[in-house]
Amino acid sequence: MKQSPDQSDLMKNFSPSKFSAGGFLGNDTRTIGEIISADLKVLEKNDIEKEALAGTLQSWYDRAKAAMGGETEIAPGVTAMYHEARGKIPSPFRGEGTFEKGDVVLREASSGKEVVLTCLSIHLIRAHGFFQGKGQRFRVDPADIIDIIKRTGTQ
Amino acid sequence: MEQAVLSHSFLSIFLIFVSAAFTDNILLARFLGMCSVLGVSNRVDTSLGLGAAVTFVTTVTAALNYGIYYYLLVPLNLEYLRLITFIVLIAAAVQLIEMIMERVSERLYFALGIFLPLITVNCAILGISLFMLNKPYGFLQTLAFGAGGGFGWFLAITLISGIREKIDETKLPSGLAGPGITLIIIGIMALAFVGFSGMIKI
Amino acid sequence: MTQNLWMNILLSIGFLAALGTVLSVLLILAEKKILNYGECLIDINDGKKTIPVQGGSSLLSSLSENEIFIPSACGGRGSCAYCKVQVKEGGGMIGPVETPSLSGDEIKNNIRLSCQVKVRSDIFISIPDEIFSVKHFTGKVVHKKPLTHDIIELKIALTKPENIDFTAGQYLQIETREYKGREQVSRAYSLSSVPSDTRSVELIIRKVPEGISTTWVFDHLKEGDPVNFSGPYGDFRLSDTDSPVVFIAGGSGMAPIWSMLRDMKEKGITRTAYYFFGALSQRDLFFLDELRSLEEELGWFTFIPALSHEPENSGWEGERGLITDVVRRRLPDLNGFEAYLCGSPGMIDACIKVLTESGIPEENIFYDKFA
Repeated sequence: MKQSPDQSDLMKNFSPSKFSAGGFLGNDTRTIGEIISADLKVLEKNDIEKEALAGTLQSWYDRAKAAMGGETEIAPGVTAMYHEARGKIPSPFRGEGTFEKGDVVLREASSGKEVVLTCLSIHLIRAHGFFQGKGQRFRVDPADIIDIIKRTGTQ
Repeated sequence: MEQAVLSHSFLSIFLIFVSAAFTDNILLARFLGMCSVLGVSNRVDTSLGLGAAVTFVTTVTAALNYGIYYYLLVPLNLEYLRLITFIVLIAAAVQLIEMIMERVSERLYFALGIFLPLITVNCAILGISLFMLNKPYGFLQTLAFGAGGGFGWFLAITLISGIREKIDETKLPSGLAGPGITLIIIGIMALAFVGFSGMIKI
Repeated sequence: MTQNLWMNILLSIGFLAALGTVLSVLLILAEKKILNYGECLIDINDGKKTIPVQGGSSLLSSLSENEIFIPSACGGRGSCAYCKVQVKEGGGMIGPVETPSLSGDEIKNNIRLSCQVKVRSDIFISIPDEIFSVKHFTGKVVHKKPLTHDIIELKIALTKPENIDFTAGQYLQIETREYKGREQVSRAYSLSSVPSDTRSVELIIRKVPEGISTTWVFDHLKEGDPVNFSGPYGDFRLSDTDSPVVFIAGGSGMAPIWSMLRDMKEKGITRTAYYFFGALSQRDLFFLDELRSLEEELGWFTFIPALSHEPENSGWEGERGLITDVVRRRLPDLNGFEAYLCGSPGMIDACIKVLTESGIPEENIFYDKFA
């Protein structure tokens, strides 16, 4: 289907741009729609809604932020650390405004695995179910998050 | 070719307009100009804008092509160049309307985007100019035919977009969303417009 | 018959060529007429400055072509919302790109994104006076000094113009260059140099993981390389009063404070000042010697570094704990003080809470929120 400049402009926002070095799709060859439906299937399998998941991520983010750079434990064996960054980043979906920068890195102690959360990535999950493409720093893999949630025993 | 045979009465011009818009609707009876409909008909406001643009182009190009055909191509025995001449004229008219739209409503210009230059290759517009050649029309009648054809297309895309806006696409089988359901809507509406057929013979 | 054939070929080619030419000429003329908005006047601050411009471009670019630089990070695409300007009249309808970046109050006050407002008629705008002194500079990197494992000090000597005039606390917009497929961007960094040094500027920059700008600065920028920037921007500055002062900043947030402290020393300002430098552990501290000697020299200045995650037996004898706790502990009564903060929004919000509880009213708390 031919796209209007509105839509092809949108696609430009998802590739590496002035605001995102890696872009939102990384080296994932799937379309945005395919990424969203694949990730939402994982949520469905575990019977959790995207808004609820985003709410949990937001609470971890806020707790890490309040610790002002120190490590906080959000689940047994999982810590979160906030790294400040100056500025705001716009949502790649036009018309959604800008979001505060600042990474929260979730770290699973035994495996060393890390997941990075930002205000924007949480918003993309809550509003669109978009967990971002593979191969770039800010993808939030729902399977990893659900793993962590299971450890805390909360939803 | 002989020029106008029909009378130039107001009634005949009106009838030509009405028949071009309804009984011979360029989209629903002749099935021309569907690509833009499939692409743009998801919202009523953009459909109204595109429909207005197309109507302007069909009216202006029908008149211009009539003039060029009968006063330039025919005397020079160049009738075989009609296809290329009409297309070039349509392209120029579309460029003009792009500029006007950019000036008058930038929002619409941006939302329609690629579909504005695509009007050039919208077969409905070329179709109207070519059909006009088969009819024994004078200038005013050609104008009515062009305006009516464009108006019919405008009416059709507006109706289709109204229907699409009211449809909750998540309730459809996933393969039918977008172009699939649009084609089905066009088909059903074409059936409805069959009811008009034969009402006016021109 | 071949003669007839040639005639026909020439005729058809000639006809088509003529048709194409006539239409092209007509379209060019039409474009000149329709898309020409004529000369428009930009009236700034009620006639303080008026600029005639050719209509049709955005307010942002029309102003920057006339050496008035409104800050922008996204190059005019409406994404960063840095370029807000009050448009009193002549701005046209507010567009869908602008609305999500503007609050209800801003919309009521006719604040618009200047990169989205097209100048199509005379337009009346209002901008802060500081913008008039913003200039576009080219300079050369003098040194890139590592201060900690992830912070450097960047010193740039001015090439053109040769001098910069700024107040301590302001920031610059540095333009990076393209590298490895990354686009050119512009990012804000606070000035850490003293205003009296007008021939060069210093910045304190922390590396952000996968940050487009800091990766360029850390990995690609070399001493002697040219750098473009604009400035000075911002209204974060020391007040004119005599009140005692509390500075709170950590990491690269120290930049404006470092500028203010050295400026105060040069100008002989002797207001009582405390600087709380918050960091995680010893490896995140820098300028320790400089700040300690400043403390010895100046009777009115006290330097208090505080570490929040320093290992127990490291031998660190300074303050420990979260910076907010340290402030509360050392200065429980802050009545009459003013506060100057620089850091992340989270840190600033936490500090504001402690400071107001200790007696500083909100209007006496000034900050450069990294936002």
